Amino acid sequence: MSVTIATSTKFYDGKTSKAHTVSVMLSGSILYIRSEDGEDLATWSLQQLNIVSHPAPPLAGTICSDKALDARLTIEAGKNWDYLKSRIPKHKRRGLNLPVHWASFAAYGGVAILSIVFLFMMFPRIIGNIAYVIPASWEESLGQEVMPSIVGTDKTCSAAKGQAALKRLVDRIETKMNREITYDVRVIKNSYITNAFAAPGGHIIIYQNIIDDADNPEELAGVLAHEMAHVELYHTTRAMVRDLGLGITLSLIFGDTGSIEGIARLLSQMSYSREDETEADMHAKKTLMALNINPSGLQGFLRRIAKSEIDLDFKGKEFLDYISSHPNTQARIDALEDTSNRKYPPTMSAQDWDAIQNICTKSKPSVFKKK
Amino acid sequence: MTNETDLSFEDEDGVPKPAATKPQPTRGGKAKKYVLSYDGKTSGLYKLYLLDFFMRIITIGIYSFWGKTRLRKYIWAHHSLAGDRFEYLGTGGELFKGFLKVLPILVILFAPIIMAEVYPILGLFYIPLIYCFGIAMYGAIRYRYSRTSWKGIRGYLDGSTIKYANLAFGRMLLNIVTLGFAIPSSDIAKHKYIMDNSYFGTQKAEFNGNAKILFGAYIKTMLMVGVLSALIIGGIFMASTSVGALNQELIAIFITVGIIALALVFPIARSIYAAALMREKMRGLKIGHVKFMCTVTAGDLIKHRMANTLILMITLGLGFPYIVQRNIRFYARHHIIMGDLAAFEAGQAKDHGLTSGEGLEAGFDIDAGFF
Repeated sequence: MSVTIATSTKFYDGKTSKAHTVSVMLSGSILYIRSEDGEDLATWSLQQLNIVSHPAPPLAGTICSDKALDARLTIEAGKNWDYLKSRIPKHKRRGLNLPVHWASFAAYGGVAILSIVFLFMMFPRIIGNIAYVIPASWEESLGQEVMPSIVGTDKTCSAAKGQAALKRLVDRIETKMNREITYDVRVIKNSYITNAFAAPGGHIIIYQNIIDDADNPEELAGVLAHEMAHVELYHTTRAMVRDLGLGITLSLIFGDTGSIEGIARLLSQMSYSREDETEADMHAKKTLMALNINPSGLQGFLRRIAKSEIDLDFKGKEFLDYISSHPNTQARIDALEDTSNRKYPPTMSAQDWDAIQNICTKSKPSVFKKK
Repeated sequence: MTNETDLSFEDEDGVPKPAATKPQPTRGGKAKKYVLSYDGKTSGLYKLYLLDFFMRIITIGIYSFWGKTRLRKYIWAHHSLAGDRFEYLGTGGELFKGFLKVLPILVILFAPIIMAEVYPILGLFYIPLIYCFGIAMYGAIRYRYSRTSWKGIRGYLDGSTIKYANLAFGRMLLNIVTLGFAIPSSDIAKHKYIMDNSYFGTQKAEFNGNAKILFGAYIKTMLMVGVLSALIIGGIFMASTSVGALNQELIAIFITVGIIALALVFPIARSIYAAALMREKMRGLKIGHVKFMCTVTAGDLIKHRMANTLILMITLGLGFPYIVQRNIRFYARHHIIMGDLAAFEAGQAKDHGLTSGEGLEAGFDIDAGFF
């Protein structure tokens, strides 16, 4: 039985742009596309038909065959179209399905994923390591740029004897450092903050409370050695590059100071990774022992912080801030245990220690000059 | 074929435009005239844009390849020329695969540029990036041609991607060296390379545009921008050299007024040249005996673009699909195809089957959103 699907409709054979006027007959499962002269221009099997577009007025339905993907036969919407559509296999009704090469898809996908992995995992590592090649002079200008914003209007403690004693201690630790950095260590007068930190370029800030709370010179030496280790081991610059992003770091180096305030705030909240902290602890311990200074001072300092974790009334908030950027204190205390049973001489004379503890009896505005 | 000429990329309003038409009664004589006919609905575009918007959110952007394809299918299918509709044969999968293919290349291209912040010398890597823009442009046109069909015949872009990229890059340098005076001749030269390699099946296009015709419009554009800029700069200079307390205020006023004036004048000035270029691109084009004409005047273009801007501003950007609709209608309204399309015949181009065009160009498709 044959059914007439359309008469005098338009047909393009996909080989030339010549329009044919054809009649379309469905006989069994074969579609006959017949010209006005009665010649069969194409015979398409129903199984191979593709619906290219559905007729939604004013569009007409268009079909082609797997054998002639470029050919186009248009059929007006209506019950004939509906009938033909119902005879076309379901998966071929949604549109022309071009063959997909899944193997190449998978290959490209794999390479693409690899490149993304490179971009997000390897690249940041490369970027982080840029810290090692940033010249010391850049690092210095970076530090100089941010220090005033961090310190703000707080004054630098400047009692002459104290400063001299502090400098002697710093110089002593510095002899064990390998990087060519001149350290600028200063005590800042501010009784609300309990913190110590290192900025790029060897600027180290110790807030007055740290000195006031210290039980002995070894604690101060421990804190100093720890902060200097951060600089020595590039932790400071690396963390800065990582946290602040290269753009900001660079704009700092080259003196675009527009956003210094925000950056300084970020910097003072900047945290080192746990690995960096442990590394700095170990470096400090090694340095101190090489200088014949009892390394348990740093341990004692950390222990006091750990205790205040519980005793919130004891300068709780500030200490918690410090702890949050120095995580896992107990593990660090354990790791710092000195098992050598060595006896250490006093770190400094009682007069020197006394002078350092009184360093804040005099103070002057904080100025950061080029070294 | 017209669809080829219509894929204009310098139109920043955002839509690929295939062309189409309806037979127009001719006023005797052999040369019939046709205009593009577009019967798409704004509501249809809105549906597609909304679908695209939500699906992109759900699929973290991956749907964009399919969304773009649906949009193109809709726009192409609603264009007709001489009673025959256009068809977009591309698939979202192809675009996605192309994207995967170029992803590693993009990583290689962009990684040094990120590093360039640290090593300014790496800024040289901007050069390959700019160069690749030409490659991407040509690839995008090639892909669209191969996926555009009319009367069962596909478009086809011959020529070398590298040659085009060389031409585009060289012309860009020339434009810079000549302070912009080579722009008209560069635009024509680039368009000529594309058009001379454009085919509708076996029918080759031919472009003989003349940059001299553009020069008048170009000078007008340059003069308007130049004179205004000179006035503003002069004003600022005068204000800054005059003595008195008004100084600062005067400068501020000059700068403000200047910026507003430039923002108003610049698009108007640009439209003078843009309209002339649109006309010349059509005037110089021939495919077989079929010729083209663009009737856009600078005034038309200015009015059209101003209305677009106003609509976008008033609707807070939600009117974008309507802008697309307006752009398509504007384009269709202003293009005339001259010749006897019934007598215009082309065969299918060999060796450029439906499955072969997909390659690097698919991913460098300008609309893929990398550039």
